[in-house]
Amino acid sequence: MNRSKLLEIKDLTVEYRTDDEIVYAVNSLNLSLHSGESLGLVGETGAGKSTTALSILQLVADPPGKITSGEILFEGDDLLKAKRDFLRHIRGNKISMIFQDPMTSLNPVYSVGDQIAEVIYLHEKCSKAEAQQKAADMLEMVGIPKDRYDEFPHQFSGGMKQRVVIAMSIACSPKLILADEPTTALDVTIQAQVLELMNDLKVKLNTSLLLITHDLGVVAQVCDRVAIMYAGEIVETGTVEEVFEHPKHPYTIGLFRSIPTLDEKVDRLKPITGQMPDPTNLPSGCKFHPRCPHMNEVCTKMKPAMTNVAGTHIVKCLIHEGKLDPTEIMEEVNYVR
Amino acid sequence: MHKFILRRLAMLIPVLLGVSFIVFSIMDLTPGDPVEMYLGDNYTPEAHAEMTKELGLDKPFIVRYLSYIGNAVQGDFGISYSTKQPVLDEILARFPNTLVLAIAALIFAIVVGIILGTISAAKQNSIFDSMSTFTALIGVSMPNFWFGLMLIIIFAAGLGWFPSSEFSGVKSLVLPAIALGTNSLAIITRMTRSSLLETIRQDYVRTARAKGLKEYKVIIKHALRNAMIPIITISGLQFGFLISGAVVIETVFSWPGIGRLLVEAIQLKDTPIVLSLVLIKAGMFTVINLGTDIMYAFFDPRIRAQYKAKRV
Amino acid sequence: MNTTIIPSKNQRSEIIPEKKKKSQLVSIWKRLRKNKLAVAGLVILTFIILSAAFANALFDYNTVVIQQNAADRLQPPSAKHWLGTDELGRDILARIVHGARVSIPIAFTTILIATIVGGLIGAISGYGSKRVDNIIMRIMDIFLAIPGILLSIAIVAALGPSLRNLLIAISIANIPPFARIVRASVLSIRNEEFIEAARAIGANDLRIIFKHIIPNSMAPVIVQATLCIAGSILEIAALSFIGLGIQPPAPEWGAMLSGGRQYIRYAWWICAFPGIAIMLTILSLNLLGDGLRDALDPKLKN
Repeated sequence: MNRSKLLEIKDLTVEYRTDDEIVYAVNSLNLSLHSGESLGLVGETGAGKSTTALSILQLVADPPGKITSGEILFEGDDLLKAKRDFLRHIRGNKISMIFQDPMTSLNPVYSVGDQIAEVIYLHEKCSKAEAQQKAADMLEMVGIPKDRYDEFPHQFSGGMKQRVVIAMSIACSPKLILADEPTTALDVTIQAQVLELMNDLKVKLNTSLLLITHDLGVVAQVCDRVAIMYAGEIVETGTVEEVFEHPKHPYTIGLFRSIPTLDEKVDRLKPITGQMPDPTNLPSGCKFHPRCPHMNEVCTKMKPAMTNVAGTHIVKCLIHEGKLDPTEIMEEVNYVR
Repeated sequence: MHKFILRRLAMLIPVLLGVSFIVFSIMDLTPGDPVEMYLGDNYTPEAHAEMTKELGLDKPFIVRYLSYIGNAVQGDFGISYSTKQPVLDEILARFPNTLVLAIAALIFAIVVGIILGTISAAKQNSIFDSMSTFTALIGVSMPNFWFGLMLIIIFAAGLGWFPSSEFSGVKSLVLPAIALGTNSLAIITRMTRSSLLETIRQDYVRTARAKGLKEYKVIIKHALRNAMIPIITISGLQFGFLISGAVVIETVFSWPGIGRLLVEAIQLKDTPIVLSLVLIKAGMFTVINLGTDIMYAFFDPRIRAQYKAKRV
Repeated sequence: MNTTIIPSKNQRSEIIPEKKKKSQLVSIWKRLRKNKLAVAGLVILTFIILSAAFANALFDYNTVVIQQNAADRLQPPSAKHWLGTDELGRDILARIVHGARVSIPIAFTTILIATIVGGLIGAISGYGSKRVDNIIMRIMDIFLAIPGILLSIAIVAALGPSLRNLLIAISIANIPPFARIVRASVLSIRNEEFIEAARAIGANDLRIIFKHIIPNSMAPVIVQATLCIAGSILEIAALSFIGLGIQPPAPEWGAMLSGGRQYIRYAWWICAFPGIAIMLTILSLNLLGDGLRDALDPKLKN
């Protein structure tokens, strides 16, 4: 792990402000990504995953969104302080983004080929004809025949559209791809194809990937490292092995428990009890305490800090800080300690 | 596509027949004897009887209506009571002036309206936005004939920059075109703003930003293009209003178009001209609306595809 | 207003919508009050209506509004005549205030007629058989093919200028939009469950129309009516301006503009102020109409 950090997010805080309330979407989030690495960012809907990704390229809709503090260092430059021109040079060129819903993320009035060529023409000093040629190659690369270059988005299926979006995102060989739930809107069979495609391209182009998902299976398939997000914070992070083999945070443990396995017969799923907290009115102390099975009084008062439990495995939970020890999970907790 | 246009044109026929029937019925209610009007000073009982027969006024309503339509299809709209000239000639002599004025007003409204609306939407909630929104509000609330009078007071009578009522060259077109176009301008500004605010929030606009495009390019190339359909619709409708509803403004500027002709004909109780003008204006209004419908297709490939699909 | 209440088949079904309506009105009013522009519109409109109502107390009709006074011809605005005098020496402010007594009642009456007639046509169209619907809507299409002002001009030109004919002309020209709106909302709610439920308990068609469909299509109708009143004011002024509306010496705003036209080179105030009165009235109605639309359907607000 001596490779240089490609992306480092420090203390990122993002709020959505409307007339009557403030939604605390991302709260002092820290995250880093090395070059060539792929990181899965996992969390429930509303945990602030998409906002985090949008913040990197400063695409959070303003109003109502506001990045109130923090640093986002990309190759050492703070993107939050960067000039517009520099940011535009980064967007689509060094960092590209794949959006959640391929149905709406392509412009309906331009041909798919031209939409890919646009980003190439913009960032690579080449003629329009060369850009179009390269866009056609990109289509082939993601498995769409060249002769569909002139077709419009409405003539494509959802999976094909997502391929077009992927072609667009890799067109300028970016250093980092932000993929915001790229497969959520697709059928299961198409999901597998798209994931495989992304895996192949990642290896071929040696790009880093920040994969946002709520599907732990997808993370296992694609990622090297994983970060679990809850109520705008990272609560646990580590390599896929570390987190999947030895989940530490009660929330992560709950997430894994809620996945039914084929090995044992269960009558009921085991969901985590309770709801995501209201992001306009977050709980005090540890934000997970209202739903935590090991909740103790100290959890309502004290904010947990990031605790390194083993290797690169970091957890944000008071149990692991030794502030309380509920016996039932101690054996799990003490695997290396 | 051609089939679609043809089918829409075919649907025009019942509408135009209906319009002509309504207008003809209304005109038929006019009190007073048109023959008397027509004869004027040459009135004698014999001439009256002869004329009644010649004009077919002794026939029942439905026969008169059908023969009017039959003649109108052949370009014969009757004879003006006041000038004794064929109605069609009178109208054709004036029509180009109305067309020029309406087109000038429309260009003014579209160009300025789209620019104001776009800046407003791109800088939502800025001072510029509030100002242009407020101006648009005033613009839709102003009677255009009053605005025309105000323009005359300020720019013709006061500053002397433009002629007020003389009909000569481009300079005399400026004030009437502005007066006529301002309502449409305000409507197009509002429509552009609201339509653009809608598309600016779309995912594909975010995609365009994520590509690293300059903001003005994101707005114009990606958002505005998609916002165009309602803007075109409203502009087309406005053109229909400008060309057919612009009755009063021509009077204000003594502009020798068909609007003023209509007012003059009403004052002279020249029924054939009034009837034909209302009919022609309503017909143009309908045809322009159809044209607007067809124009969509060139802006949205999805609609184009629907038209193509219908051909099969 | 997004919650659909499905009445149970007993008396309570009568009570719940009442309560719902009341709280709805309160919340609409609350939303409307938040909208500064709409409040401004309401204030201006109230002011105009009040001054029209008390016009006789402010200015005597016969001596100030109608009586000509050659000595005071074409006086510019002054302490005595705030907005100046016209070509016949009459006080313009007095004529504008009394003009509101002409335009506003006519505009409200025409739209009331158009709403009732158009609403009935639309309700019949939406509620009736497919064939009835088709015939009615084709006829409405034909009326919509004629610009409103043109239709009004044609009607008044044919029938002759008089108050009654003006009322008829503007009312007829405004019927089609109401027919369409009511039909659309009837079509959208006629298949909702509460209508079926009402039918199931044996309510007849008329009862369903009056008890369920009309209250439910009120919101878009009110918005449309507010905006149409503005349009009606404009049409009255335009028709009077070309001599087809209210006849002089009655103080109508459009007729005042028409009378002052020849004098604009020396007496701008004759034309300026009546036009501002028209504009303010239309502006206030537009502001209120837009505000009502947002308040009645918060989903549409951006």
